[in-house]
Amino acid sequence: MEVDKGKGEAEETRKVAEADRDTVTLKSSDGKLFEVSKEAAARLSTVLAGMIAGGSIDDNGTDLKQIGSEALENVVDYCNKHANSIPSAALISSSISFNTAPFKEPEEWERKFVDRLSHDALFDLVEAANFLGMERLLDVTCHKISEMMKGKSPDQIREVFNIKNDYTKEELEEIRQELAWAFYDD
Amino acid sequence: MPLNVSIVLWHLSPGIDLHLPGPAGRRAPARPRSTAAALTGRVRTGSPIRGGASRATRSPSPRRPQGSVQVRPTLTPPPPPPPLPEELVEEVLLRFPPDDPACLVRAALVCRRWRRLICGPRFRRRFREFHRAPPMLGFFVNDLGDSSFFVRTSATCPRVIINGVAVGARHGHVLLRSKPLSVHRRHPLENPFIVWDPITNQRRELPLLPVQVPGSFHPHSWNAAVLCAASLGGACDHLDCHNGPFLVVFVASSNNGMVSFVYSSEAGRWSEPTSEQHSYCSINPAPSALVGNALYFLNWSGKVILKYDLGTWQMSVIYVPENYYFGRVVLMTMEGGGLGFATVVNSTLYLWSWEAGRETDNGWAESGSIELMDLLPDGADPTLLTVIGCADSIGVVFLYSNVRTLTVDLKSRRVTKKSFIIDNSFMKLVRCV
Repeated sequence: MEVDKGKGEAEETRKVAEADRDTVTLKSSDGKLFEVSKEAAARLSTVLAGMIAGGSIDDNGTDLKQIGSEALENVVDYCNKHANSIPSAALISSSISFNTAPFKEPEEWERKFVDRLSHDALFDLVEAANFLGMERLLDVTCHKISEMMKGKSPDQIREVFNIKNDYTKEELEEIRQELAWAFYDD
Repeated sequence: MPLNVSIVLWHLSPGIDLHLPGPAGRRAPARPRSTAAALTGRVRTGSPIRGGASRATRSPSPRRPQGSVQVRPTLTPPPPPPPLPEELVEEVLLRFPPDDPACLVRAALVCRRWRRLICGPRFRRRFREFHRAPPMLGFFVNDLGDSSFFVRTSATCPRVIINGVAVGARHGHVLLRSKPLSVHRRHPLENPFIVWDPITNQRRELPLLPVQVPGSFHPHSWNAAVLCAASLGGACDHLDCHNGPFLVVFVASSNNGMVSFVYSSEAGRWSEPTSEQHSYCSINPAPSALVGNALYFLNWSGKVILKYDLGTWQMSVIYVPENYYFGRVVLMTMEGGGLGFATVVNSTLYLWSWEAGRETDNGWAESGSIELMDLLPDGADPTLLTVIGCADSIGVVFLYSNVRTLTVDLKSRRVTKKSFIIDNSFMKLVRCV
């Protein structure tokens, strides 16, 4: 019983120490450790915010088994950059403002951040952002992918997304003729 | 005869109703009449798309072995990545630019799964919710009141063939006259209105106005407006009501004062006429503005605005400020939802807003201005600028100039020269949001 009590106290002490730290440690699926600002993690990720609030952060590295080290590194990098960014003028409402979309265009640094990513890294980051409940990062990465698809033919989109065509030739031709405006500059 | 221009703003995604012929094909699900059914789809919130817990139960992505760092051979191409999960494909497709509807059509031809996703009512609803203000894809021009044609402002907007003469448009409905407005066909009692949904191409011809005693009603001037039937009290967000119930409000000046009729698509008939003896004003066919629970129509002089209350069916008048000279004015809904107008005087675009109870200038006050002199394209004569219309929901005002039509973005203050030329005489612009 004494031993158990000691263990419990140690656990409490560890939790208190963890609560005092201003960073959290995240462990990728391949065992790499990354430190990220606790404030930024809680602000940008609903999942990490929940874990921090619930005390389920492990100071030896919280296991994120679904996220590889490259994607997690990008997540942490994004959190750090976001913490240091200054809101652009575009995000400050002007004197004449009308009905605006809830989606805010990526800021310059966010564009640069996703532009440098390889195809695989970008797709991994979308999944990581989704898993961690990072709405803004999901916005920015999905926006980037949608931009990549602009002006592309169905064949080219299939290639980007690695999707098999399950239409017959006749079906495709019929729809193409019906909606010719979407394929040619008529 | 007035040259009418109807600005059309819509999300084209509902028009993409791809279906395949033959036994292999399945028609895309029909759009629900009620928005409630469509609202069962996910609404964007601060939470993750599927939540961390549910994603955590998924098997690891097979894109690369988990738990090891990927090392690629230098000379062989990398293996193709597996497809993104459907919920993330949806997130990507949601971010397609709404002013380039061809993107969604091409994406729907990628595979059957994507087609089902894009054509489904949930995606359509989410697409509208995500982008909110519909983009301008083009507008209708009336050729001397005898016919209308469509001018595309987006390169990938489909051609739209209009069969009738555009009178007005709002909430995805276009109000037409079936016969030319000129000569003897102008009379509103002889020429039925048609409400047309350009997305689904559904047309509904309305009965003629119910005038009991022939010859007892001689309108001097008139205008009409179409709107979503759930507009009263802000009961609809107008993102998905283009094929829902609608109202048509007809107002006219006559020997008996002001007269109005309301058509309800749900009742399938016109109301009895409502008269107002004390608020006489001639009515300009310029576009009406829908502000709160009222429609506002401009009179011919541009000095008087007729207010039609949708709740009480009562009419009253508002006067523009008397001590100022305004050029042509265009009614609009201002930031915050109030009534306003735009006008250009001496190369400056002015916005004025009205507030009930304000004691100065008949309730009006200048709420903003943009000096256009330094923003104009080469060759534009600032003394010839005239405001000819607006798409207030996206904050764009249209100007006539001697160098083609100009648009002024009220937010960015950017002036753009369009590739089309519209005569500035009697231009009419109608909102279709």
